[in-house]
Amino acid sequence: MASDRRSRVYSFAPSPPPPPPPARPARQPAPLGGLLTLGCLGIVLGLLLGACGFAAILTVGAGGTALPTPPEADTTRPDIAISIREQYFGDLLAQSLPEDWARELKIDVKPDNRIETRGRVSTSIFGQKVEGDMAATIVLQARDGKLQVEMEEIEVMGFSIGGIGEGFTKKLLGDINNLINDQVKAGLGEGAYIMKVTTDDRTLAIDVRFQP
Amino acid sequence: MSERVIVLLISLIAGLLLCCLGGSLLTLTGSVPAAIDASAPADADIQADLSEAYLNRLFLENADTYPSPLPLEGGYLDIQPGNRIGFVAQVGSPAGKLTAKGTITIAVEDGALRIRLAEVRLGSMPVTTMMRLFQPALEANINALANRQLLERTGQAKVTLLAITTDDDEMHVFLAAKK
Repeated sequence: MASDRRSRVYSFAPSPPPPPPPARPARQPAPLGGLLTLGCLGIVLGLLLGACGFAAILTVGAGGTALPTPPEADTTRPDIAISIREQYFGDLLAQSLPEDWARELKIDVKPDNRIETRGRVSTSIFGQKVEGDMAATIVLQARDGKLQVEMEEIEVMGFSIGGIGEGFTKKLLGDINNLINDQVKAGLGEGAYIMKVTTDDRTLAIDVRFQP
Repeated sequence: MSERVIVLLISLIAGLLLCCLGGSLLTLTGSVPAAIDASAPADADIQADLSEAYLNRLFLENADTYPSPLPLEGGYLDIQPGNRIGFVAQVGSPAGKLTAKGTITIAVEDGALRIRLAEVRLGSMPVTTMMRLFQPALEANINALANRQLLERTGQAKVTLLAITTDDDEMHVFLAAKK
């Protein structure tokens, strides 16, 4: 017992080394399938995030209330400029005449808004039936926003009937004016305002503006 | 950092890069649509030259009749050569006002108008394909409306549509008498 106490007090021998800590288990690499799945998920996430960001950046200019400035409009120009070929205008004019009034009607558009018409007429003046060649020059004008046809000269069988056939020509012109303006209204609408009419050797030109 | 985190980060960056590449290609592909080669026919009986200002007024006056998925609140047209018409249209949406820009092309096929939405963009983003996917009937509805209005205007005059051409500031419509 005494020897035990001595050895405990005076012994300078090194103490035995502590036991080593338990070894960690070896690090296992992540399974390849799991990494692939994760990679795909990452790409999809990246695509989604990128698409949202890209769309946000690209559509930044689409918001807001201000409209970009429109191109400047030339207010002196007509809204619509119409050019009508001589043949078509002739057919249109022929439709406006009384059915049995003129046959073989020929229309010749001339400069200065003049239109020469020639044909065979059959009508009655002072109760007398008159039949023969007719030649008339009509003038087209724009008046009060409408097309206005006026008779400059009319001859039947070489004789001017401007004075004696006034009632007849007045009715005829009224019919023509109504038809032409009806056509304009049908084609262009109620608010069409004829600004100008011009002619050259082959065409009739009409400038139109629309009133609000 | 574990392999999992590294893989996730790398793939996320790859996805972002892919998206940027695709998006850049997408914005580049929406180029100006090709001009339509239309010429003035020699046998037209009527030629009507419609000014840009007039077409713009018509565009806005008829705003409530357009078959648009979102209501049109403003905009304008820009006539361009080659039968192209540029447009800027402001539409109301639940997210606020959106401004779409684009180009339509206009041609005549068998006496009828053929309008095509060649390019539509929201900001810088091309949405033409998306519009065709989600609004497949939009072009057909626009064409039906335009042709109905054309018929109303030309029906009484007994004329048929021959051709349409455009220059910088006018649209030229060529009509012929019905035989």
